[in-house]
Amino acid sequence: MFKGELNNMPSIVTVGSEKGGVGKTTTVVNLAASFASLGKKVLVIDIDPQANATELLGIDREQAQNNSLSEAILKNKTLESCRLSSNTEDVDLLPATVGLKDVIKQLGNGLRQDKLLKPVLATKATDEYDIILIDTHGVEDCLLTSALAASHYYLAPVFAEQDSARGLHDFLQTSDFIRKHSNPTLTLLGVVINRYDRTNATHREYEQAIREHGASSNFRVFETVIPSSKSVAAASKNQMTLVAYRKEAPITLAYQTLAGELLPLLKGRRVGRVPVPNIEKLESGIQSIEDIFV
Amino acid sequence: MKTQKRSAAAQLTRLAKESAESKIQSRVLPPELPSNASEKLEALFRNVGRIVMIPLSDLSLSENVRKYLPTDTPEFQQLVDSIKKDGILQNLIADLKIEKNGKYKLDVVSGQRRFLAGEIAKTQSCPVRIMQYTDRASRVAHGIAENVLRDNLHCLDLAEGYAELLKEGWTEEQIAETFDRKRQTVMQHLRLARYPEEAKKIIREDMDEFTSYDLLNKFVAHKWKDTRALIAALKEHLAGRSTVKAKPKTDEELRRASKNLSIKSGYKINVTGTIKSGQIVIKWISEEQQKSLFLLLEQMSTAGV
Repeated sequence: MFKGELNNMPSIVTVGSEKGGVGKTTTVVNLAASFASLGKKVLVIDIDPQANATELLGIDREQAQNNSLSEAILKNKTLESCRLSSNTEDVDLLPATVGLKDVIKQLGNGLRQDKLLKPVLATKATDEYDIILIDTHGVEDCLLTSALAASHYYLAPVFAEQDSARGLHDFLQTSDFIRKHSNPTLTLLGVVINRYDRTNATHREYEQAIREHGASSNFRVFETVIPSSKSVAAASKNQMTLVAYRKEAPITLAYQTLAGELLPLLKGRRVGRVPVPNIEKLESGIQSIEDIFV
Repeated sequence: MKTQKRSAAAQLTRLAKESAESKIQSRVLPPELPSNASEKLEALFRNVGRIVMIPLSDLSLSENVRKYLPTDTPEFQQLVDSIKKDGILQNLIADLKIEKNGKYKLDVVSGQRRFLAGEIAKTQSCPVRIMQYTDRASRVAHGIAENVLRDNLHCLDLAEGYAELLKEGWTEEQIAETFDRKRQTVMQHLRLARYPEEAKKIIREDMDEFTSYDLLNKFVAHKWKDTRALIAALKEHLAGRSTVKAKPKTDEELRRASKNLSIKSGYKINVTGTIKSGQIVIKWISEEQQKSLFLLLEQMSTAGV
């Protein structure tokens, strides 16, 4: 093992934003495939009842019937008995089903509403992975808070459109609440700009604004931006990751570069100081980001 | 047990307190290679497909898609400054080749700009993804991909890249889909790539003077009688006496303004031209809109605007 390689502890990363359509699922699935292509073993946990990540990783409803996250939570099963191999080598999946809606109904207001995921992951199988990625949906509910409470890190995709900054702000706020109340080392990895069109002036302006706000509000904006591409829709139609669908495409390369930029930040369980984004500062700056679109 | 609990709680408060002060999280760099030559080569082979730290002096720039790279732009200086501060954050891609004498070579396929900026910033090493390309097409495609992501490749470099992919058996359709371009745009580039060497040489000598707009909209769009006519036109362009004219392009600013106006007003407004001269087309879609628009125009004329 080289100096600086990951230790045996997996790094658990929640990918979220409280706005739909910013590319959370695309990010999770393609980052997972990219990490795997860089030699890491990855588990994807899908906590979105719509199960889009589950579909993209090649698992259909029947397969997920008895092996799913909701089964694990409701029947007290562990990861070993519920995970499935995905369509991508070195990527396993804890699938989502509509059963997650029952989880929200039954446990959404309970005492342990932010501790639903921890018991599922408190098992030896967790240590088989280098990285665990959690795909969320754009709603603040018991599943999102449980994911954040069980994570070491969180990552926020945004894209150059109105309300995207607001969705980012809300997600950072939810995450910071979890950090303060149940997970003091929860760390923001950074913000990744998604569906970016270099030739679009609004996008360039937005990129600059979000980078400036990152610098002043103490959060990282990744150098790598993910370009907008028709390949995303085409790959999703074929239920494939981009790495498998079009390995030469710029967007595939972008995800792999983003994975490369992320790896040095993932160190398993953190101790000591945790960098915290300045949410009040971002709040006051959001209007100036939104003004770009007026 | 009780003390344990209390100390855990104390740790939590301490962590929460500390966290409020700390700056952005630090990075653990990718693994470095051993310095011993034979171990190094072995480690390189073991890490094909992965990212490792490579000394800049181990990388070479031969055989790159990009032939043209201006280093005197503010963007390039910005990159140098950022590298001085944080190092190279995004990994380069290099092709590992073994030469006849048993020595290895790492050719930068993607990230040439970062590499050059890193040299100026006096960076010692940077993260590199080691590849061993079995087909040439993937290598060329990775070289072009960078263009779409961040750095501008000169239109002629891009054109020759496409042409090379075509030679390797890719179809025009495949190129268009992979790089999210219109098929027509790819065809235009390929037409440029088929220009006689003599013409390409003129372009290469003064790449700054030939923007992709010039090349695609003026030269490629024009039908040339023969090579001599094309070369004369290229030379004329360089001398600033271009006789080839393209359709005037609408200013980006105006286009955005018209888009904003459309959203705000509810009318479909289309502006073409430049700040100095142009036209506005306003479309209404209901009687109500028509009436209020005419009212507005009447008010304008009575106010003498």
